[in-house]
Amino acid sequence: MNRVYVPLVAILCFIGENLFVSLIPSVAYDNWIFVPRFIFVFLIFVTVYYDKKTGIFYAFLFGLLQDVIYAEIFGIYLFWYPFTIYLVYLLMKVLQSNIFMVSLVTIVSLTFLEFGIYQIYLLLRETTMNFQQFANIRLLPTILLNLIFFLILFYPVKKRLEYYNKIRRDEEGMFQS
Amino acid sequence: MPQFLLNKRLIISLVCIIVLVALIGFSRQERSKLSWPEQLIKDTTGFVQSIVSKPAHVVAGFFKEINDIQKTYEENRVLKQRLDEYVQLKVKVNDLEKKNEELKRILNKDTDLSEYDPIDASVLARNPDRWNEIIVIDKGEVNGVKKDMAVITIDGMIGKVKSTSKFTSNVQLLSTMDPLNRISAIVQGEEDVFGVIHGYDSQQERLLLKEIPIDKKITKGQDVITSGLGCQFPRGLYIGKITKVETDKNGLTQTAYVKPSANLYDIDYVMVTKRVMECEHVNLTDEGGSS
Repeated sequence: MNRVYVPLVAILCFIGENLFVSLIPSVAYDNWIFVPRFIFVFLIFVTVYYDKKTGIFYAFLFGLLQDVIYAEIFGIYLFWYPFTIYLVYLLMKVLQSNIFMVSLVTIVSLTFLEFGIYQIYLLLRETTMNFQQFANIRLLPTILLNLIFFLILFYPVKKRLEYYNKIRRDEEGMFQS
Repeated sequence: MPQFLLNKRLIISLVCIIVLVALIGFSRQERSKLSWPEQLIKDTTGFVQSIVSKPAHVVAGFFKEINDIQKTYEENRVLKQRLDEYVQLKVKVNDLEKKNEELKRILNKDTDLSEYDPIDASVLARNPDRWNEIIVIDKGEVNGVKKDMAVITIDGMIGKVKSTSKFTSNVQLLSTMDPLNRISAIVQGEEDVFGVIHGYDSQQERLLLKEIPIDKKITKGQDVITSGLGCQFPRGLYIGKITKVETDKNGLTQTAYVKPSANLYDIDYVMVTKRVMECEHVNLTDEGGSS
């Protein structure tokens, strides 16, 4: 279970993103754009409570997957997911890992991620949104949705990850001694 | 050696940026076919998604049906009223079809632009970040889906096939902002007016029908269909109704706002249209030679 937990939940999150978009009622579709970033939120947990290398590796993997399956523009998520996760790691080095701080970091990193991707699409001329529209239509609903997801997941996932992290550390310690 | 070249992090980030730009540049060029690793990834994830998405859609469909049952009485009343109209229309259509066939036989034409073979498909997934509006469907090259085919629902056209792998394909919806996405269209009226669907106004949720000549009179409520002149789509796929007409800034052409008839949000089942009439470039040169 120790080894399968992270990939398993990551795949579930990936499919969950998908289901969320196809099953969301169209009423919520019209005025706002809720972008589910479940996998990203989960990887923040992994980075903070488990291991930074694992977090960045999965960010890379699922970034690639996202790029290949949907937009077919390589490099957007492939780059921004690992990069943002790395920034999360840098931030968490100086911050405490309690619920308040981590949710704050989640908000900041989501903003960073969304804004970075918005800038790339603006450069590629695939969107005509101006910043005001982007902030109102996309950014705020997205942060709200993912923050709710974060708060639901926080306690169960944190507990599991810390537990597995302890086991992992013990195993490594055993090999070293 | 300069000092900054020794900074490992700086070098790594620079290399990353270069790779990023190169990758984006690579994937933005027009590719007729996806490479096999991409196809493999798509087919694999498509398979996993189909396992999950089908039961999920069944459950969602159940709730929708409950909703529908509540509306049944009202709908039934309206439908009964329209039934008489329908019978008359049916007789008329039969008559017209027969006439049409006869005329075609006289002209020795056995295929026309509007004929197509539908390929039924169901939706596996949708792009969660909605920068590109893309849906993944469960039919691919094996089933005869090819790039650039038009995709419709019962209500009208929703988009075109962007890329295919063996068992899945990506469909780009009409609402995507893609500079390369152009559809040749006709405004139906006493005289058919040609234009090009190019772009989408996401604020008003309207397609933009551009390059309509300034001297053509277009009014609100007219129907827009595909013209079939673009070599890819069959003729006569319903796109939507005109809601507004504006003169362009340069005053030479008009732009019409078209409300798409199909619901671009709630899509479960689609049809890919495989045009019967092949595009014959050879024929054109033959005609040129004989004249």
